Amino acid sequence: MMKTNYNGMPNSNIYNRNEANSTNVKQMRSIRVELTVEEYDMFSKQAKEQKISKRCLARTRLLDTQEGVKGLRDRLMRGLPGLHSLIDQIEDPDLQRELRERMVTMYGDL
Amino acid sequence: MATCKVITQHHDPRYQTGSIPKFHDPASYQSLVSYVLRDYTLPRECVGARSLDLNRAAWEMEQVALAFDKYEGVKVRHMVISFLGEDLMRMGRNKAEILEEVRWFAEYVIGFYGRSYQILYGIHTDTDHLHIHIGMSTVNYRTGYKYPGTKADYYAFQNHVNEWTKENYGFHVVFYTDKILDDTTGTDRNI
Repeated sequence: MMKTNYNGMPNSNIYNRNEANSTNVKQMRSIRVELTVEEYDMFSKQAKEQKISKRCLARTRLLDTQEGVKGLRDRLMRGLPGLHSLIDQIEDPDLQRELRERMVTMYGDL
Repeated sequence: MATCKVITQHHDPRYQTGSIPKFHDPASYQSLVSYVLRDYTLPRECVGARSLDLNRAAWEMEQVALAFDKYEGVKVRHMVISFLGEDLMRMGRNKAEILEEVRWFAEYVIGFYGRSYQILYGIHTDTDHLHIHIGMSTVNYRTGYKYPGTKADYYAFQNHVNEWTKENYGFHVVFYTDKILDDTTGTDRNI
C-alpha cells in the first residue's frame, strides 16, 4: 500500500532520511573585506547601533548580497515560513491545500 | 495536574558523556519530526503546524536554518505536555470531545511561538496518558536570530499556557525540564 501524506498525495521523497549528513562538522569560511578608515568607522558605528559584532554584520551583509542560485534559494527559503503563515490564515482547507501544492512545485526543484 | 516537560538531554544509554549533545546533530530535524508525527502515521485531526508544511516539515526547517546561516548549535526544541485522567475529564465528556478540546489547546499553545518560529505538534493517544508533542525550529524566521531560551521567554510561555487551562478547565500545567542538576556542584550533569 502506498504511503500518503497529510494532503492525500504520495509521500514526497524531497527529504531522504538516509541522505542526512550525520556528522556534526562546522564549515569554516573566512571573509576578507578591505575598507578605508572612514568606511571602517562607519561600519563599526553601524554594528554598535545594531548591537551586534562587526563579524556578525559582515556575515549578514555578505549573505544579503549573495548572488546566483544559492542567493536566490536563500532568499526564497527565508520567505517560505512567512508564506506558510499567510496560508495558515486562510479558512478554506481546499484552497490551503492547493496553495501548498503550488508552493512545492515552486521550490521542489531547488 | 498536567505537566510540560522540555526535553534537553539524551536518555538513551548508548549516548555517553562527551558525545554530540541533544539536538545538535543535523539529523535532529528529521528524527524529531518523525517522532512527533509518529512517522507520519498520526491521523490528520491529531497533527498541526504553524509556518510549516507538515509533509515537508523537517526539510523546510533545515532549509530555513541554512538560509539564515544558523545551522550550528541546538537545532530544535522539543516539549511534551502530558495530561492526567482527571484533567482530561474536565476537558470533555467522551473521547471525541476530549480529543477536539486537546486539539484546540494544542493550537492555542503553538500560537505563542508560531508567529516567529516554525512549529508543529502531534497528539499521541497510544499511552495511558494522552500527551502532546511539540517540535520547534530554533531559528526565528522573522529576525534570523536563534531562539534565546531566556527565563523571560520561558515564564511568558508558562503564563500563556496556564491562562488558557485555568480559565477553561480549572487546572495548572507544571513546567520542568529533564536536566538533572548535580547535588554537590549545582552544575548540569548529562544522563
